[in-house]
Amino acid sequence: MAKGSAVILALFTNKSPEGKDLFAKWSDEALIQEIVEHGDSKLFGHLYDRYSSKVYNKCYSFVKNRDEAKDLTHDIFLRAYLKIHGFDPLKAAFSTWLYVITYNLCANYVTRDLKEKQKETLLGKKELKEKGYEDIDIEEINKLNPEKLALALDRIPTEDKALLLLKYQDDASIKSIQELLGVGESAVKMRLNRAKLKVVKTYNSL
Amino acid sequence: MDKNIFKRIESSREVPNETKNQVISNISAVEKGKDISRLFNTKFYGAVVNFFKLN
Repeated sequence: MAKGSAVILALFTNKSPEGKDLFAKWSDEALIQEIVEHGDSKLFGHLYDRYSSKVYNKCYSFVKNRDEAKDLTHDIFLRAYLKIHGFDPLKAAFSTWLYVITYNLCANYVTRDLKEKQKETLLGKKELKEKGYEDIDIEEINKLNPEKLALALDRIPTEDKALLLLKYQDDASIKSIQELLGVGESAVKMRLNRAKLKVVKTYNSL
Repeated sequence: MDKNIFKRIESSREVPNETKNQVISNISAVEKGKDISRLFNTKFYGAVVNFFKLN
């Protein structure tokens, strides 16, 4: 096939002459740039394909229901599309940015009825003040039983669970978390320590 | 096995197929809405202003 017709084919079908997806090797940032600059919303489907499974499973870990996880996944991707102009690759990777949207939406969804009820029920505020700055080594948490830890995570406030997953499951850096949450480095570290403290305390009480 | 316990507790359920279609069709609807509002804000702006003046 002549080069010219190959390019035309690619433009119309998003596929190379060999039938391979032309955008499969594009980075997230390149796809987003194309979506934002040229308004090519179809390319968003590629980002969906890359992250939908992760997002769906994260939603499921919060709501424990397939239909609700499906609806949340839909809402998260729609929200991500609507906010995509505000994505800044210098602040964080697209995946981290998307997971922050995921956790925010899941946390809001889960706590919509139990905001007050769940607040600090497992660990009193007084105790937090006393132990809030105690450093808990992640290596200690890695030695715990995974099933029991998953249960403990379900019992701590959703914001704490979200922060722990963002840092340790999604490998978000402290810097990107502080950029996306709009708080300082020490605040992120303090919140992480408190979340670790809560999960360990809950784990021990199970 | 991954040493990181948080990665070990990650589940791997299949995303329902229909979700992608719903997302893509809603994005198309959003884009169409944007196109229509752009049309009335630019091309037909004068006509809209005149319509409200007359009424």
